[in-house]
Amino acid sequence: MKVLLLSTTSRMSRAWLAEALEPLADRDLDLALAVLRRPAEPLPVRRCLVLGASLRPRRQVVEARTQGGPRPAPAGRRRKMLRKLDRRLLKVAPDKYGADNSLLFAAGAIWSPQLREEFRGADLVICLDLATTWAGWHLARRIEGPEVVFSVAGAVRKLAELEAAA
Amino acid sequence: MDRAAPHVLYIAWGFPPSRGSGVYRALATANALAAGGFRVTVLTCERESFYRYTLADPTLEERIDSRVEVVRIPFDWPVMDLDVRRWDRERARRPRAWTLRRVEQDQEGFPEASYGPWLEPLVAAGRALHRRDPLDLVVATANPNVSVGAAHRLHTELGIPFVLDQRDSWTVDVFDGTENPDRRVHELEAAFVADALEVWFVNEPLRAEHAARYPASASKIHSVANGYDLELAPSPVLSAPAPEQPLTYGYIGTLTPRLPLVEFGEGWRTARERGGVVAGARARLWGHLGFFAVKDASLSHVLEQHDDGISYDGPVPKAAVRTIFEEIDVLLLILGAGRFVTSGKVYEYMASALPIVSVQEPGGDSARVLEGYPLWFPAADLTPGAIAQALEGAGRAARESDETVRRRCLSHAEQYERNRQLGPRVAALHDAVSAKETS
Repeated sequence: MKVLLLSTTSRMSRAWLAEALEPLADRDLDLALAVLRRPAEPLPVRRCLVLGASLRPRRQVVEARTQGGPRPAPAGRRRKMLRKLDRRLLKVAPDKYGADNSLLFAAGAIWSPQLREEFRGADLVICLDLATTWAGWHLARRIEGPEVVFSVAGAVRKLAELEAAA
Repeated sequence: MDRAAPHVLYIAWGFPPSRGSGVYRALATANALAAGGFRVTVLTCERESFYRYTLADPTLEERIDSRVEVVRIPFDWPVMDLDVRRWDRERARRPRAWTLRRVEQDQEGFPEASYGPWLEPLVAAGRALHRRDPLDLVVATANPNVSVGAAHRLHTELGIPFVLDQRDSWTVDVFDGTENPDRRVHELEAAFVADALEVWFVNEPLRAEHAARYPASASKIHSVANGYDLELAPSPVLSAPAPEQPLTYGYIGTLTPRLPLVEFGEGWRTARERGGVVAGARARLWGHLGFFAVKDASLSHVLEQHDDGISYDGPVPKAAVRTIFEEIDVLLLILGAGRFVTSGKVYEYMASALPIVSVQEPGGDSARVLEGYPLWFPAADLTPGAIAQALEGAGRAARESDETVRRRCLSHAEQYERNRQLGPRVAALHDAVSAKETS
């Protein structure tokens, strides 16, 4: 089963991810992950998309290295400049925007072709925290197909519901 | 069923296929009412609610008496709806604020979070059933208390007498004894008790507490213990295990954070270190982790820490519980604190005639029930030494107790067979309703 995880957790680690997904541990899952900030270490997922803490819509997401995966190309001059611009924008933006992870995540997620592609191909999308439901909801309205749930508890229930229906 | 038999409406949120802890009492009550000469209609929620929000055990539906009619109505639990595709814009954007507001809204009509909005659908369904086939009596089981709210409304609107079957307490926290701070709850409970034909509580401390609160109604407040169901109870074990076989200590029941599992683990390790009967023994814990569909992660951690012969062996369908008892030599009764806490499992435990170790803060009501059970070994407190001592005593008893002692255990248990608890009350209700019809 292809699962896309959405999370705003900072510096996500393998231990954190394993604990969060413990209720699904007995299932065979093909995981992709979209996070706001770069994880602390390469994670055991097929693909890890870093949206970046930015208010710029249509920004390009960055592929982070996954556990056992190839090292991504180093950031070029243009990307470094954009990162600097993002940081400055966040500094001058009012707190209600700059500190709103929900907004930052949604701004990066909704227009990202890579993320939309992952969303479209997933069987199940799990919004792991409350700051990702806004993006999950918007994507769900635009793209038919995957089940979209909040929390791992929601995923467990949804899978049980689908199995009971089957 | 004889159409002249009195018609009773039984209102219960948790009814098969629910696997919630109160479901066995609900099932037994509906069946006892049918066996006691009533025509029974059960009003409950749709099966999907249990599959979606809690957990379900489809095998329980087979145990409903064929004379019982079950009417299911929709039950929405929006706060528990985690399907983002069904959320509205406001909830998706500000989920925390939405939840807080929703919990408040739920309680506008009836002061019970999540269940409050179910009052009107229940009352409407009750009215419709009464129009179709007039009701002589309503029995409502709480919690949720909204069931009783509906029974009370049917009483005030249509004059149908009702029984309040309270498995918990609405006004007192059964674990710590604190009062419910909501004034409306106290007012409603007072009205329910005053107007009910009978009020049932699951144990004597709760009955006494509420009889003292409502002295004018004390004579109609009864203790109706959960007891054990003959067809689900374990077969009594009347002989000791083979001497060469290591002992198995076993716990069967829902594992919640309120249980002193950490203390039990420490007591267990202490007993093993001391040697003796516990040294080579195993402790096996069966049951769901928490009450909901998702395992409680904090409990998983507690159970993982133990590696001295303690194992968590997962949940067991109710139908298979009898066979699990056959693997156990000593039963572990690990309970949360609280003078109002009896626990339903104590009755099934006693029906097995096995030695029982109680691990609970002193003062719980299960002690009253177990008093006089010949193979009961309560830990004096929750210190490792006291728990170890109880484990050792029970282990020795498992090896040494003969059939005579075990038959005495069985005799003690028999007073708590479910029908002996429910039977007198069902008969009294039948008499009361019949007398009313005659007059």
